[in-house]
Amino acid sequence: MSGQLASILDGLSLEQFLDEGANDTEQSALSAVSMDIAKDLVEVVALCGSQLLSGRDEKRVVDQFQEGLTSLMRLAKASEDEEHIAHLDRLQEGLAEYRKSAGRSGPRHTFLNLLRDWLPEYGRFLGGDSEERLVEMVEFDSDSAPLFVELSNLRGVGPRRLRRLHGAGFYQAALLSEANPEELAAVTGLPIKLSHQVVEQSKEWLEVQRRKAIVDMKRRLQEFQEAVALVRGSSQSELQGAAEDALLSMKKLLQDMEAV
Amino acid sequence: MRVNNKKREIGLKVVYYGPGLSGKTTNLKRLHRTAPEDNRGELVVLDTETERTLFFDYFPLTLGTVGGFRIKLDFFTVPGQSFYRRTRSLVLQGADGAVFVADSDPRREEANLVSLQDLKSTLALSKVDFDTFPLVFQWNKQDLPKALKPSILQRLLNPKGRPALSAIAATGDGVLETQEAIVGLVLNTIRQRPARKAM
Repeated sequence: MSGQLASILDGLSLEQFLDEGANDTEQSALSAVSMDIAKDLVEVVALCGSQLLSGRDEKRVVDQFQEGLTSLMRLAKASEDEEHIAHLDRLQEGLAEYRKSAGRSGPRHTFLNLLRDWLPEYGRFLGGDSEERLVEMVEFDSDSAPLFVELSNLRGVGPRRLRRLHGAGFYQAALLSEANPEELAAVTGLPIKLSHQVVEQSKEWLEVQRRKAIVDMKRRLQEFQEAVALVRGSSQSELQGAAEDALLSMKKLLQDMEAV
Repeated sequence: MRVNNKKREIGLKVVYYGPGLSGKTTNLKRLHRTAPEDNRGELVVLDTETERTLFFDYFPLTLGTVGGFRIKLDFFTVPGQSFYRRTRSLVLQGADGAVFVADSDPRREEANLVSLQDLKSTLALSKVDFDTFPLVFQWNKQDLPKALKPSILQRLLNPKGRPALSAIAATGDGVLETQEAIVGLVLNTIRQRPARKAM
């Protein structure tokens, strides 16, 4: 430390450090950041987990799952959080056994049972809304998962490159569609031309999803309008008001979706 | 700032921000190498297969003691690539100061501007005022043959004239000076705060 810094430090009192924003905590800064990122990253794991649980246990999904777990383990080890490491170790051991079993049904069921129990437990450990999010993701397939299937149709995008995309955090369609192709190439090692194609494909995919959602919304709106027409004749004014409000908000939502 | 009453420790968080490949990790590696062994913790580097920062880099450094509390500096870098916005925001949360590592390569001019804007909006999300947040600029890679001059970078990125230093992080030039500037700024900001009673 330089003499200048030493003299500034000497001139400070403890009271000056303890301002209103200072939190009293036993958690280190490293551990706090690692946990925050893990809460974010856990969706990668949950996304693959949901695919495994819903029967898609092809090699690519298992590899992506492994990749996500490895990233979480790096964060846990960086912050030397023994409890976090133990949680991840438990699942990694289960996954290793499953991979060795070459798809036999007994080990597969054992692993899927472990995964089903593990995801909510891990969410509880992470805290905040993680448990709810993990349970939700296990129960419902993510909207972004089919994008990886679509990207695998691109010439030059095989399981290895998909793993790289996934491992670098591109597990959401929105992230990929907003990526700068040069940076994407630098991070994942994809050739620049292919990187442009991946971004374009993701944009197109999202646009198709948006259009499909609009069509679906229009159909639902039509059905709802018919239902509201039936309620209009009802003597229950509260029910009528609620139905009209819901109809208005659906129309507004549809306008917003079309305007994007 | 983090206070650990049990361990009698106060942690100050300093984040190295800037566009991808501007030299944030190189700064941290240099600092770690030159820091006294007794005062520094382990350097944690979390990079991708292609060696770009995926999450962050980190190392702690003990500065001294005040009122029986150990003053610890937690140095972090953020991933520079634009799509890791969410990670940057998580790392920046609760920071006491930042170094903006700008790339002097003229081809990275736009990347510098985008990254600085990103810093402003990330701070705004945490309701931190950019204008009063302790920030030091570093004009890195000044050894490049066509490097933008500090005076140009100053006009482009730092019109309000906050502390700024030239550097060649790869050789270590200006790295320690930048660290001292940001730590001095953070400590001076604390000094100027109205004090409240000790816990």
